[in-house]
Amino acid sequence: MSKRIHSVSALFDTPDDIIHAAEKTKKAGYTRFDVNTPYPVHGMDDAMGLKPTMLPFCTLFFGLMGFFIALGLQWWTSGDPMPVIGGLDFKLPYFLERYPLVIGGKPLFSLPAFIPVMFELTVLLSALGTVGCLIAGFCNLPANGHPIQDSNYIRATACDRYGVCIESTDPRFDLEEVKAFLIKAGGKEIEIHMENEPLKIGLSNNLGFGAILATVAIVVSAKTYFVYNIMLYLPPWTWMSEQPKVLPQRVVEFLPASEAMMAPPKGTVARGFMPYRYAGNPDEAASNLLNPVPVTGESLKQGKNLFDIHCSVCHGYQGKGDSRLNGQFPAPPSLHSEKNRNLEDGRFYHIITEGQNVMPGYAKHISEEDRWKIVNYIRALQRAVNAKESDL
Amino acid sequence: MSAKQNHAEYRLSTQARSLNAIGGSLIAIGGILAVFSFQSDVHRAWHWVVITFMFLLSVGLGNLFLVALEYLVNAAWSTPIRRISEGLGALLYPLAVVAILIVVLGREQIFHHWLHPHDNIVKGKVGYLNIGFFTVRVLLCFGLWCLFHKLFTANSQAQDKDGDPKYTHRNVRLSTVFMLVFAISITVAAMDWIMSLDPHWFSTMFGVYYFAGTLIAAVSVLTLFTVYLKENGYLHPALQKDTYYSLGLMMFAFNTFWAYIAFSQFMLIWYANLPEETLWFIKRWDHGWMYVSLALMVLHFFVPFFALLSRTVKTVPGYLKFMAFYLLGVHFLDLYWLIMPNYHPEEHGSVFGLTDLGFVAVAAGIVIVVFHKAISRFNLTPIKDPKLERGIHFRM
Repeated sequence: MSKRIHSVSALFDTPDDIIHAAEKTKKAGYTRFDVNTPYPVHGMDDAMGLKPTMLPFCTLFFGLMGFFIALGLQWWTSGDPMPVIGGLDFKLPYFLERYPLVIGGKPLFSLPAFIPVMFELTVLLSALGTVGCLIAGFCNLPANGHPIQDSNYIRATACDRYGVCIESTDPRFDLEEVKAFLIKAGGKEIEIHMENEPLKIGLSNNLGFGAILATVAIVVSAKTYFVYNIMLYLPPWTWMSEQPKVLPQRVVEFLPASEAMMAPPKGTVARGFMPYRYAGNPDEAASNLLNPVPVTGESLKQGKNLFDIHCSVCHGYQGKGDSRLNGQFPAPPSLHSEKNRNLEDGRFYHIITEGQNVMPGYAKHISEEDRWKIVNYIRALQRAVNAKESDL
Repeated sequence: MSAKQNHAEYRLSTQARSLNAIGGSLIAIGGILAVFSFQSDVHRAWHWVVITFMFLLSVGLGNLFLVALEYLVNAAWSTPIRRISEGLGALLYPLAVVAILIVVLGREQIFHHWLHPHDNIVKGKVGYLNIGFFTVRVLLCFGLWCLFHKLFTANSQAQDKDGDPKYTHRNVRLSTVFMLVFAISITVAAMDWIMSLDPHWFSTMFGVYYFAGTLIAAVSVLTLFTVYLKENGYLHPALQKDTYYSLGLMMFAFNTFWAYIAFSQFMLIWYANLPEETLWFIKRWDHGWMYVSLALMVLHFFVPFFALLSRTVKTVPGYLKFMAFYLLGVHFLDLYWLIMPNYHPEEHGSVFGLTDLGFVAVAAGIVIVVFHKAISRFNLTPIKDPKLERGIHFRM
């Protein structure tokens, strides 16, 4: 089978020779040729007449992309969770959930805090984008070999020689002419490279390759079995969790009653703790407790914040019982029912403190004053849904 | 190749007298305007003197740093234009005189905050901020800078005679010492001349901030003179776009470095939100200074960043000349933004008089005249430097 000629190459001895040879080749009108050197030779771009690469534009594109992705991501995630679009409450799909976290008392949208992330993502994406574009767009993929790659020519230029290689796709290519030109330019060891045969991969014509594939298959199977059936169930290190100390709810011989958790002495209270007088007594709480927190814009705002954090998870942002946990958890009744609207402040306070039905008590999470603020906010919500005529 | 050339070809010939004429007239016009400025408001004029002084220090000290840097990292590309940096380093001698003049004549106008401390915070800093120690620091810094400039240039010029590499080795050793001296002294200078104008405020990054601006100014002036001298045939004809590219790259790199440092300083103060630190930025935001701050951000970072981003434009001499002028302008704006708000911001807002441009003209004139005077004394190219051949044929 006669193969097509891919290229003709010649070797040179010094970097100066190769620069001159490249200049001569360019002058002779050849356009499809390459130069191989053991290291980058300065000034070669000019000598070969290479056009500037388009790669920097890929870098710019990906850099700007990183910049705007970082900006957009931070802007979106730190925004208001309940955007009102066209006067309607807009329920966001779960993957667009927003997390407005107040950090260091700064506004939610704080550009100075975003800039380091934008900077990092710009650098990251421009670097990855450059390498990715280089490999995907500029390296002749999917070719997996080059006709000159196993020749004496490439061995010499990878070591201590310099070479020019004129390809047969050049419009001015003529075998004898090119040979004569290269010799005239001072080239030695003229070599003709043939086009590669299409690569054949398969078990039938390559036993060694088949053996490698089989070995890889066995090793990967064994490894997978080991990881999923043995390694995952090995006991972890327990140096941190097993310590010689007294743990709660254990029997400790030397303590009175052998209990690790000792009861406080009779008639004492913990620091900063005020016992709740109406524990287990909602009716008395409802009739005796009075709301000490005045309804002001500031306290309502704080009440909204607290309600959104602690209550909205089940009750929903408007107290309708239609929260984001709807369907995964018993839905609480609406706070806007006739019954709930007529409940006393004290009873709401009691329910927040002690819980009711499925709802746990929040005495440990929310301070007494804050509980009253939430009560005020619930009142405001109720009034907003069922406004009195005098409000209009 | 270069050894064959006549030494005289690399000297500034008599035709370059035009440089002197330009510089001299700039100083004359600027001087007259500056006098008007002094008449209208002595206080503001003295602050402009400090701005001019710091600008010239940026150019002179920055170029001395570039000389030392070349020796320290064994760079070859900048060897053919190193003499320009050496000539610009000569700015340090007249600046020493200016510094002493400022201390003697203008200290009451400029340093009155710590000369007469009114509150306990400034009183607590009197151990450092007193006129005696201040003068000692100024003299010590300028003494060291001038000494190093003298040594560097003496070695470099001695090499022109016999080409002995021992001079290069000497300068390499000198530059290792100089780098330490430079790092400390430029921090001291930045603190003394700019930060102490507002003695309540402090930032540990301030020295680096001024250093970043210094390098922009130094490389810009170096680029300007390189392009000018090359266009008029005073530099080696083989120097070409690769050298220009390196200069453009340095301008781009140091400008980005400046933005990085400026933002880091701002972000740390913004995040910590401590009253004793934020007051400095608040001063530069209220009373109309907001526009100067925003202009600095856009003009000093965004515009030059994109203007110098492309590889091709960095090899165009005319474009580089324009960008060098531009960067020098924004460095002036940077210094104006650093120094001027200390001049009673609550009463005057962002103050600017057209006569103040006289100080800019004087600064430009001084750079030109001093450079011409210094560079006329020695060869424009270090003709027997061992790295010269490599530098002339530097290719990317």
